[in-house]
Amino acid sequence: MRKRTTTLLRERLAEPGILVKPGAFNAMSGRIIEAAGFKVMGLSGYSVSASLLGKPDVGLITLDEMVTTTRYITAATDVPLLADGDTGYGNAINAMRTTQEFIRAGAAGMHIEDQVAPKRCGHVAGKEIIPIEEAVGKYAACAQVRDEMDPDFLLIARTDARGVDGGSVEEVIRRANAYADAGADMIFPEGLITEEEIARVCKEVKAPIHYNRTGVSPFLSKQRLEELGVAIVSNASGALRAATRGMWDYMEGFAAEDVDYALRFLEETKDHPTGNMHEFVGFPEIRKLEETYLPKEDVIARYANSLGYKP
Amino acid sequence: MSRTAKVKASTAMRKLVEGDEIFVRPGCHDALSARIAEAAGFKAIVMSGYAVSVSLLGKPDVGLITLTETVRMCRYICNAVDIPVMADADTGYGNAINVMRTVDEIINAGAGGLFIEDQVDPKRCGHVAGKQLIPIEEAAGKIRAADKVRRELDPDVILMARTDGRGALGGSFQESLDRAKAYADAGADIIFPEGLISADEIATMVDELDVPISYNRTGVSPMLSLGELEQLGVRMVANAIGAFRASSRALWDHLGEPEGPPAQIEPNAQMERFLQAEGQE
Repeated sequence: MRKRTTTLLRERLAEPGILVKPGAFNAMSGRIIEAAGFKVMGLSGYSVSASLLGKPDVGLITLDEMVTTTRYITAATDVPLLADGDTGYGNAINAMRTTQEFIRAGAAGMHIEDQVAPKRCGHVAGKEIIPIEEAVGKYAACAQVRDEMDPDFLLIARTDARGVDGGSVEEVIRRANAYADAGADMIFPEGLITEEEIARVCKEVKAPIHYNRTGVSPFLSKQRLEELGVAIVSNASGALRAATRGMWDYMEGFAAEDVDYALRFLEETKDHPTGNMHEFVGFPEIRKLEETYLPKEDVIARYANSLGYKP
Repeated sequence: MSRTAKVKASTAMRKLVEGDEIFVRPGCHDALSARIAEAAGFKAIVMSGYAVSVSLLGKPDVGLITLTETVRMCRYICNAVDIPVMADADTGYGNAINVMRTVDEIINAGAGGLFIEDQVDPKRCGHVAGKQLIPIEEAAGKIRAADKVRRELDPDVILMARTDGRGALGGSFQESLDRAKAYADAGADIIFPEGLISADEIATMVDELDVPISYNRTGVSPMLSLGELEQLGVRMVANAIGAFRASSRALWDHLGEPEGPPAQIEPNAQMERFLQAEGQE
């Protein structure tokens, strides 16, 4: 039996070194993250909103949609997944259900933020946060569910206190320590704007730090972040951006040149790891399963006497 | 259909199918890929069962995806674009009775059309070996059942019958042609003869049928130019998994170096606007 990914993630966090966390948004992106050798992945709310709905990350995506996507990815990969729990989809009681659903869907952890719902991307202006007492209640409620269901599940408290109107690093540190006292395992101080702020937060917060290297936050190297004491660095929407650019270029080229572009693309991709698409997506494994669990002679005849790629 | 579309998706799709110009419908697998195809100027798109299976489940197109998953993705896509969407309904997820529910659900999700194939369930990608066919009478019955529901709900919805008669076990060009004719008689508006292997086969298929055909330019089928396909009389050309291939390659390249510095994607200004601002109504 496979080890639970919650336990696996706790072990990986206990080892020295920072973990880089790319953001997945569907099973295929999760599989590619796994193939590239990453030790943890995120489920990016921004990217799920963009890919599934075609809409920006302004709190339109539902708990159900995030949990379903989590389930697809955890069924397709063995890499621990940290889910984006947005605001917990309501108050402390809703956040308890959110925690339960993500644990059942196979997530290794999740982060919940202290924004007013409907939330928005941490690097887009217009955010508001809930009172600290209310946020503390939410994290305590999530921690209770974690302790009952799987103590290894990583509860990350995200605070957006830096970027809101009147926000400051002092408020981030005050909230972070209150959230850690309420039971959060890790703190995600969203939107820090200088290296000094990161260093200060790492020093003054009593829990490990999750850093989101994007938008208003400095693009420090992995080594520098590790020196500062960061435990996990997120690259939430990089994969989405890469996929979007790839599709954009393809569609522009294909719209202009039709089959000439399609053929050139195939030629250029011939030796790429994804170039033999049918093999890449797993038809050979299915054929092996068919030969194991279906009448073998029938399977062999079926492949031999029909047209197409032969796995 | 998107709330902002000026014309019903089914009506727009019917206009394209009944028009006299060839058109290309690229494949999409989620709302984002659909929006990019729309932004590139295509007049219609297809929701590819292959690409949905792999992107959503991370598993190959061998009939693992459910009706519920297909319909949900279809709704996301239809809500996100104004161009009509053709939905891949695989085998219709069962017999003729299941097909009736499938057609109902897909029409309600906002698709402008759909297609159903004559493979044994669980099906597989038309360009991968190992396919088997159901008897022609059974398949024609599925198309008749689909036609009945379509007429009741929205007669403009395009019903396309796909036959895997060319490449499946025991298949032949003649088998494909016989089936195409039977499905057109059963009520299909357009035929998708999957896996034809030469321009001659395409030409004969077009000549012998009273309804237009859709051509899937991939795998075992020749990569002919749009001009050549137009001359042969093809109405609709699919490029089902091109966007998905591009997306996979780009993801791989972005994520390929976990120990190196993060590959920072610098989208052009147009794409940046697209990602961040568009869609905020």
